[in-house]
Amino acid sequence: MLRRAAAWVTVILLTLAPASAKASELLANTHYQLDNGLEVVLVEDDRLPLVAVNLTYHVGSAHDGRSRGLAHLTEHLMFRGSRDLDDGEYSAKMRSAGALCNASTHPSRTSYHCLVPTNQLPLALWMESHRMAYVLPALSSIKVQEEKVTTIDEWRFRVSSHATGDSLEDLLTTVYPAGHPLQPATPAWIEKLGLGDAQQFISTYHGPQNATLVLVGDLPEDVQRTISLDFRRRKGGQRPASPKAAPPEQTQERRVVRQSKVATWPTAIIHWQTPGLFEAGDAEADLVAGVLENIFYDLAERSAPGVLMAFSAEQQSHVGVSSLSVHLAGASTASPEQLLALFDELFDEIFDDLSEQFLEKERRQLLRTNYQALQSLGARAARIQIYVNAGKDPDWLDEDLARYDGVTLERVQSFITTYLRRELRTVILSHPAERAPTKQGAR
Amino acid sequence: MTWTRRHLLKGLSGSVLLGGCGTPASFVGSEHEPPTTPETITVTFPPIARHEFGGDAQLYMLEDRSSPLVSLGVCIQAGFADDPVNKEGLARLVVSCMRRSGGGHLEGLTTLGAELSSRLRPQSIGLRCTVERKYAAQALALLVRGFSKLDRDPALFERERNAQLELLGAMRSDPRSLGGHGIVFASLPVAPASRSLATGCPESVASISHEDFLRWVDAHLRPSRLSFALAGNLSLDEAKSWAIAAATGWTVATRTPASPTPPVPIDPDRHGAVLTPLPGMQDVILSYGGTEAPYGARDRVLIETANSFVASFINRKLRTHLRAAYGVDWQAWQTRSEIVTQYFAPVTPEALAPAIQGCRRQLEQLQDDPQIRRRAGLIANENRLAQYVAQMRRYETTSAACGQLLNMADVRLPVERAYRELDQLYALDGSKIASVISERFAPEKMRWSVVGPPEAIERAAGSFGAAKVVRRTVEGLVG
Repeated sequence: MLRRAAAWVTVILLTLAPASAKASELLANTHYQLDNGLEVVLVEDDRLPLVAVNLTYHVGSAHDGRSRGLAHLTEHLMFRGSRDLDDGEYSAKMRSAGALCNASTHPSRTSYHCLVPTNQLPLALWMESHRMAYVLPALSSIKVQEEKVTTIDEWRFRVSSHATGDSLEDLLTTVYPAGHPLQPATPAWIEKLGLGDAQQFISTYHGPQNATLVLVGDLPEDVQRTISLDFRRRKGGQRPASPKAAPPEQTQERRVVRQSKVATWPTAIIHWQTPGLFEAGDAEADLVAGVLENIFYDLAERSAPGVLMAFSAEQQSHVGVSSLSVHLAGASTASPEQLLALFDELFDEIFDDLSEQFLEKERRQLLRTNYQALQSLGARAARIQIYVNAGKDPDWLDEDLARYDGVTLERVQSFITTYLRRELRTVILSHPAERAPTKQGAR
Repeated sequence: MTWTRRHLLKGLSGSVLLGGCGTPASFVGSEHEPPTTPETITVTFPPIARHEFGGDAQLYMLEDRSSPLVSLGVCIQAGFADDPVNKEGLARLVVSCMRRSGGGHLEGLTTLGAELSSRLRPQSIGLRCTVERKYAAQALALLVRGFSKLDRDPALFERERNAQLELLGAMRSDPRSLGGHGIVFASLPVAPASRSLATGCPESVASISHEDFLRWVDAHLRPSRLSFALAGNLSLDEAKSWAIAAATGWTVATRTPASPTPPVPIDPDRHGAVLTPLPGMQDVILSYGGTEAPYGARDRVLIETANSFVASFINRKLRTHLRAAYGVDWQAWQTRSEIVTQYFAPVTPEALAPAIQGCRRQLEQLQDDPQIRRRAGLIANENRLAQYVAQMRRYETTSAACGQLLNMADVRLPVERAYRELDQLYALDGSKIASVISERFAPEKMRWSVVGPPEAIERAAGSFGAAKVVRRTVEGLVG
């Protein structure tokens, strides 16, 4: 088995001295490149007879340009057969081999990932390399049309099966206007896509020079040989320029006041654009979101009992552009304006009184969250892809976690005054739907 | 502690290979053909230890030294099946107070870097978190404190009761929840449907007094009913000593519980379809229902396989043939008696009637299909390896493993039966699956729920054939 001794060393280190062991031991890897440019990262973990396979192309929805939805549509088309595989055969063969497979499109990358039993790894590698090389001959206008319908259905599923789906959609279209790398792909955009767009996208970006293969798990001894034989077929692939949003030109708050069509409770969403993934300020954004998530609800309950029903704060970091958003759901008797006023009042209070001790608590939570997430083979492979996609080393975990140690109270204050000013935010206030009372006795 | 390895064959049941199975994973496919990989799989499971403390208190433990974390779970044998008559929702209120309590456990856990999560079942309440090993003993004591030092403050009780009433109000406009309540209403003769669920209904929650709350807490929360589920970087001796220390000093009041609400069994001849208008919606949530076997039940794997078999047929009908929906999603509704499953998809109003008729036809064809045993057998074989992998993933992280141990603790499952589902997977064959499908998914036994714009609902009413169709308002479902 590949580097078995090294893996055992890692286990022993973590067992005996977990606090002092380097976190990046979890991502200890063999990192190399094939002649055709494919980057390969192998991480050995033989605890279970499974391997997480993650092939990522460094192109995503932020590179759609004026063809909004194209990266996502392409992701779907990659499952619709190739030169030697019929439509549906990829999924059927992989399922039959015990593999749990899926794919995900992010702003700066598109990942095809599966978890396979170790002895089925040759099949997974062959299938992945084959569709990298030969998906184009199998594409057709019919398949493109069918997958357009499916991606529009996915949009509908997100928007129309939730009571508050429409307010989230309003947020996205307000925050990310035309020309923004994160502008959402609405059905109207998706309808415009055609076979030529998909062919061009795949032939330009889905090549080994724009891809990274990560395997994490119980790797067979000859895995490097298998990879080089399978993935030699395709050449080329171009890395797109990093998507970069123009700095916010806002001089005043953008606010949308609306009425929900379905939800009978008020909501307020507050959103800011923040620095890109791993840029200066990104760690501060994570900590600010964590602080809010942990203490806002309790403070609100003390300050205005019975007004706030649910609260969440979320930092979404992407290469080039990120966002911090908070979501407040109120009691049926409250108004969205009341929720916003409550947020403004407590936000200042929280960060004026923030102590070093509280920051330390947040750091501890982040450390635990990272360790917890990285127990899973698939999550480890995905984390490596995030690092590689952002131009970091595959085992950049120690440096990643160290970013939080460097965040001081002063840096948090500076982050807030730079990025979380009121004139830089977008606010979506949703009043509850008006619902006629049910007739007396009607059940 | 040594992890056990079993080598299993993908194909027919009962085949256990005693090592050395399969070929080395060195085979590379040709230019046009994928490689032929072994029909076997190695399934690895960790050793689980169980310890009885005396009384009913139990410890389930799994040692996994591969990370510096320990996942901790504590559960108590009292749940929403113990809700008093007409006070449904009381146990959920108790859990809400545990999550908001000023007893010090929450703040303590946050300081240790942990995040508290909770779960409520008919027979149990569980609290869980994950921490670095060095904080584990302390965190376990704080979890137990969540039960033993529950805040009895009337103001906290009042706040949480109001929050629960607000939640029930919000459910009245949540299309997915309403779809689920529709399936529950079609299955159980309980009105409103929410009364049979952990939330209770607005009427029952409003009638819960602070005295009811205190009586429930005093009658049910006691150390003799505790179970511990610990997974991660620890030894059995450590687990025992931490658990004993955590429960020490818990003094209890002695009170008699109020009579619980009797569970109402599923009525197979109840409604065929429940139609619920929800103004403002653009699409319709189309749901159909079944039941799921609880953890530890003898036929659980068989029933789950039959459920997913039917779901895949309906998914294919809606998604591929009719192009009416993106896909079928799934949600479970634990009632006081059984687990009701809701399979649902959003469809456009125009596609609703063809979707219902198409799904019904699909089910009829499934019943009449002379090849159903063969097809079910093929699908069972195709999915068997994936299910083995899914079984192993239950122990991939300490948090997932802790959840599994809590499941075991809930039903006091003997350790030797921990991997029984693996044996059930062996034994799956087409005829068994086919008989479950015939029994559970005959078109006349199917339950449907439709939530959507009023005009679309009316147009759909004629699509259910001879099935008994009822209309229900959102208040009729939630209260």
